[in-house]
Amino acid sequence: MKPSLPVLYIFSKIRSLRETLLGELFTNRRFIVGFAIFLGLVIFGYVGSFLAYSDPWDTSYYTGVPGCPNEYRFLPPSLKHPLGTDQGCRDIYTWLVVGLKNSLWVAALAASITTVIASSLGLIAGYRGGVLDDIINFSSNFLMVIPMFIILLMLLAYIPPEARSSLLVAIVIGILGWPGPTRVVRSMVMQHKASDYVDVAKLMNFTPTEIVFKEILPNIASYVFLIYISSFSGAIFAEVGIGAIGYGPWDAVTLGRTFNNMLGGGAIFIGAWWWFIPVGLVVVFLSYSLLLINLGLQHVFNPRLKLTLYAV
Amino acid sequence: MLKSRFARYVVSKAVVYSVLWFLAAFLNFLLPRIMPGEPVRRFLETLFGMGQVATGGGPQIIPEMERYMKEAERLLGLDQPPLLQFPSWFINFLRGDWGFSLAFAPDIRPVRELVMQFLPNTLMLLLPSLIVSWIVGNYLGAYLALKGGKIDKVGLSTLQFVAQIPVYWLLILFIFIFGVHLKWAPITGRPLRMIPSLTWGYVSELLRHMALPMITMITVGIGGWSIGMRAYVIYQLNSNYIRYARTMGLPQRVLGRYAFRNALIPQFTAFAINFGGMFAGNLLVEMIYGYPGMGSLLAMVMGRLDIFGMQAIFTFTATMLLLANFTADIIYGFLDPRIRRGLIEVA
Repeated sequence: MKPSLPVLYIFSKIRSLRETLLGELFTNRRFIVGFAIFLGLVIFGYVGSFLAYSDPWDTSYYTGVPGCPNEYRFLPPSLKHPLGTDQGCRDIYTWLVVGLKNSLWVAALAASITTVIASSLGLIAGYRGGVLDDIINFSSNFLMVIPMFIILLMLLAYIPPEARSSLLVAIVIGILGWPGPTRVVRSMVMQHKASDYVDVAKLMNFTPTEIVFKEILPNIASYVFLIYISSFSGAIFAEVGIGAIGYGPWDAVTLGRTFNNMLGGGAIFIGAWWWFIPVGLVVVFLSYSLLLINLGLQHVFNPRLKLTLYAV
Repeated sequence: MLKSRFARYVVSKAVVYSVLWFLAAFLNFLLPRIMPGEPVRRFLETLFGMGQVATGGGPQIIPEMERYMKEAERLLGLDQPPLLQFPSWFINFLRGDWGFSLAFAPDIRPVRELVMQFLPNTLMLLLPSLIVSWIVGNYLGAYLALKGGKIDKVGLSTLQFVAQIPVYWLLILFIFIFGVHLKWAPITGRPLRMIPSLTWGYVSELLRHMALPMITMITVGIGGWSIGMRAYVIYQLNSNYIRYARTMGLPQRVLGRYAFRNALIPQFTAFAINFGGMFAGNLLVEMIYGYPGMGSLLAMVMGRLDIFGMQAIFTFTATMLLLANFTADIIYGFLDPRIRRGLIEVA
């Protein structure tokens, strides 16, 4: 394959396995584009909220006057307010960058929880089999059928607003995401269980725990990573969705909260394109970049997929 | 023999889905009653608060609040242990008595009546969008898979991008462009001021008011459906029976037809799942567009913390979801002779 950058070409020439994998990753165009967009958004969120005055609720900092006089509401973009102000004289740009940063955190935490639950349940179900496997398989099949968004909405609607912290929301999103990924891990483990190296490990008197964690887990690590990425994307969507309705985290400004604020402020009807276009673009590019990363990783991790590479 | 196998398949599916349905209803009933933060209590407090606002009293703590609360709990039957409340609620639900919604207080409306009022609007909006995007998506996906090459690559990238767009954001853009800016379409809801009738005037107004959300959902829907269909067709094209048929010298057109028909089976299941999910409405789309469907009803009920309304609506949604899946499994069995003859098991 022709590398796109000479530096990366040299990098990919290094023979150790890890380096070649990385090198191959960075010669994959999809991965590079996705990674660049994602990194750009992370930097935008962090550096942006670092440069912006980082209290989205403060109005007097931006307007220079206490309270919220009418002439400071719904301002169009200017140098002082790159994206204008909302109905409460708050700076929309600050909401966007702080929201992005917090949403990334929520999604990262939720995806970690999903990945941990899914891989442990998948490993147990796949390796042990038996009744436990039946239970896990049955419940994941059942939960796959019901749209996660409805369950999420129901749970969060019953939780009082003041208790709906971003930590709690991340945990709820993370826990609810397990069924699909668990099935993937389970089927991977079942494939690996029948392979020779597991038989050898058994002959060498490895305990099941050792076989699962020292032998099988490293071999399916790439899939676990893929699961993390797709859960991340799912968590972003979930958080933005419930946040937009008004059931997202209440202690922090997230992208969902920004959406909610935008809907509440009637941005569409006053024609404030600078208000709703950036928020949506951030969400779209975030999930698109994660998709590209996922496709790139699949390409590198599983060459057999090359035939149907674009098919996922 | 053949018939009994299929019958056994149907019965086992029916048993599984009934158990799941019962579990769903049970959890749905129990959750607000055992959840920390006492949703029931918050619901009653909102109710009292609304009464005070209505009488101009403003939110204030009345000394007798506790006593009123006890009385209200007794009247609504909430003072009993949740496990004792469940059977009567469940039996009533089965009978078609879904309880009363207090979200429209001071009006007290039967939930079933509310659902019957809002559901047709949702179905009118979502069903055509689902069907159109499913059909167009299937043909587009199959076309890309069979065509291959440059068109496939460009088409797939575009579709993947489109599928990542949140529906509600695209709707906002469309409202802004076609509603606010160009004034081609109304910017909200339905022709509420008109009396429903079968005249051309009313129907065309209705269609105009559904155009934007429908176009949005079809656009994003096509992205998802076609990506899936493309993958399934490619999978079929690489399978052994197609290879064999190719070595037999069958023309590409015939191969494509075989692949298309087999790839439709998983797409059909996905359609059924989406069909079931449709009964919950599309909350954000309906909320943004002010469309009076199930999503708006749910938003209203949730906003008022009306646990009776939420329970009934969520249970209804779960019922429709599971029913749709059950039907899909049965039809799946009909479509795939291997299942019909008991040769393979479907998870």
